[in-house]
Amino acid sequence: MNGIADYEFVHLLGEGSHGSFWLARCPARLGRTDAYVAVKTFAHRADEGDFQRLVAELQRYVSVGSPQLAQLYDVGLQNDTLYYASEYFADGSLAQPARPFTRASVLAAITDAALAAHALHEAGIAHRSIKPGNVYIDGDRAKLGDIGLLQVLNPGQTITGLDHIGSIEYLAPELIQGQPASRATDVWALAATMHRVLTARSVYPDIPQGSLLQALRYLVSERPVLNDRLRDEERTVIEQALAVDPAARPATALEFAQIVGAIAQRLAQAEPA
Amino acid sequence: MTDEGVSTATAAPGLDSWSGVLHRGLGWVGRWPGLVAVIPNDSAHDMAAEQLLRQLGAGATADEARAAISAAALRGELRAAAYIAQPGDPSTLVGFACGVTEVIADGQVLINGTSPLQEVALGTPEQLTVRAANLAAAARAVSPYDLRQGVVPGAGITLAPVGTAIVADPSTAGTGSVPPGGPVQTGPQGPPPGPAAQTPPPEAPTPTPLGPPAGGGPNPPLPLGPPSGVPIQAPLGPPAGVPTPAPPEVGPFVAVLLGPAPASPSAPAAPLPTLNPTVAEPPAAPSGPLGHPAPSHRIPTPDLPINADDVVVEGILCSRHHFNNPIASYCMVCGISMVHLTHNLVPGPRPTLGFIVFDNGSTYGLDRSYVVGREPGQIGEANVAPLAIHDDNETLSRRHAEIRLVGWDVHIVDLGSTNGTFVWDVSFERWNQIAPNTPVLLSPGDTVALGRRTFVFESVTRL
Ligand SMILES: [Zn+2]
Repeated sequence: MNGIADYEFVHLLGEGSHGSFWLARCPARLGRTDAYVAVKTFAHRADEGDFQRLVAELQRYVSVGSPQLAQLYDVGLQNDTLYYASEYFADGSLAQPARPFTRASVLAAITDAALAAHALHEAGIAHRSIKPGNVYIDGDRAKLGDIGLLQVLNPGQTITGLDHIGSIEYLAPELIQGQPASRATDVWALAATMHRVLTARSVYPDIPQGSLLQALRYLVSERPVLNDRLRDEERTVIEQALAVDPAARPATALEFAQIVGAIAQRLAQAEPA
Repeated sequence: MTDEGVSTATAAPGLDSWSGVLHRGLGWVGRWPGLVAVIPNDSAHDMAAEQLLRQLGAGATADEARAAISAAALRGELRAAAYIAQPGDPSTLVGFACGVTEVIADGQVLINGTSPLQEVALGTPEQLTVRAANLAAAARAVSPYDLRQGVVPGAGITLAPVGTAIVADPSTAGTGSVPPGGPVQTGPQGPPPGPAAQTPPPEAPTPTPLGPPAGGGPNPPLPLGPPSGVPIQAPLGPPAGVPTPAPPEVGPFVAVLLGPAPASPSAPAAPLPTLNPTVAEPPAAPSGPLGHPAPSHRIPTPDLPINADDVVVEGILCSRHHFNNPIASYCMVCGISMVHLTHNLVPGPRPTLGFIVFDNGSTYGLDRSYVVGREPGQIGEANVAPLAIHDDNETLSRRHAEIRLVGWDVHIVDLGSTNGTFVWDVSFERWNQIAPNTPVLLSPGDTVALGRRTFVFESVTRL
């Protein structure tokens, strides 16, 4: 693919079975000053109905208007391929940071992502796809992007395919079982993201490799095992947010954000400038 | 990235006229007149790399960048970095590599992290690669982006004269098998490439990586035509040549601009419900008419909230009030034993009954029924969703089968499909075709074949 609609692709940013992310030049049509935008193209073969549903879903997202949410610019359909364009973050994401990070700034980024999730929840939207790769670095803050749209295009689908196996640690067990996404499933994902970024390890260190089915069986029956690299106060909040009973997790993403934000602040004061 | 003040490295013929195709991965690739450099991202977040990038980003000349990189490497501040430079004389190419990086000329690794820390003459190669040496994703030039100048994310770059095809790198044994659509990095160091690498190539004869359960594994019963294989992304184009100055031709498309904060005409949506019981309870007990506190109406087992479109079934509650299948011994939510509870049946909204996993890893939750097929279309029924399955060979009917939830059970119903629906019989190791329009009860772990596609049913009831 060299482009879609009036976007000229310059660089593949990432891909999965659900679609691909591209770095693209920003067409004048958008009326933006950005030089580049990130364009997501969907592998799903779409029709006009899919397009209308995607437009409605993304308009809901945009109307939330949280400063911690990545901005969306444009959504379209060319032939049977859906795409949307959003702001591009040259500093990368928590999964691929383009520059070094202190522990305090990582925690501050998680806090921003949790605030963004809370804003979505208050508007009746679950993000469904919080993971390090969707928490973008923006100066000294972070923004949450790439809202999960699986449910819009394929109702009921929880995992798109085998290449999703790297992301299943962020799926709350009840989500894999087929329960609807909720505040509690996003809170789980925030905690699993925090664990991954702080320790570079999954919350399921012993998950069977190589077979998605075995991995899923493991996930719905086994508990996370937290890594020793966590500091005590980090461990406490992650442990709570990964509670098997959704009702035992922090009730809102805001509550999670406040706990993690406080840790980040204490750490920033302790770290040399 | 300024043209002025470039002394020895002014656009000499040779290196600067070559196209540069990026390799994916963590780190940065920079290109200036007379220089290409790769600084892999270090999971230890080396501060020196950031300082260096800032310095280079501020418009350093190629010579300054080169000096800065090699000096930082020699001082041990930079764990990994590599570059190829053409200092002045167009016929002279030199390379430098430290840490887990390498410089490859015409397929030969000339410099890597074990070489002495000094510039090495590269001769007159026809193709050059400089890259991170430890990243599977960095092994290949896959991006169609021709980097001519600037700093972009990436883990390597392959340079060749414009118009020549980038030759597959022979020195990528062990890492070169990662498909272009390989694992998406999910952490600072990323997962091992194992699972994704097990996806069979599209020409593999039996496309069932998940496959049916143990015991050799049955193949789907309909070897019709070439197998469908795993859905593949559109192949990446060949490396782009010179960026075209004219804008590309744009075909017809529809698009909706998403404003920063459009005035939403509709009423704001209700927030998602909170689960915390302290929030769900009323804030304070209302006082009785005479000022006495109202009697408490705390019921040990409160009625489960039921919405209009919920399917109501009878189940049992664990000691923490999670709603479960009456035959379960352990709670599906919290795992607590329910063996010694008195099993009072209470009505409640049906929770998920499990999930199904297709041969390509696509997974669906059984919180609803599904009509499965090539083009199931929209379903007019509540709690029934269409499940469209990709099938190149049209072994599936448009509406092939229904996965139907009945009470606490999961049934498979063939909808009169052309090629039939089959359930794997573990005892006799064979496929049993089911009769059309006749529901068949699925047991946990059962494998079902529709055309050449298969799925496994997993229950979440803990017996
Ligand atoms: Zn329970």
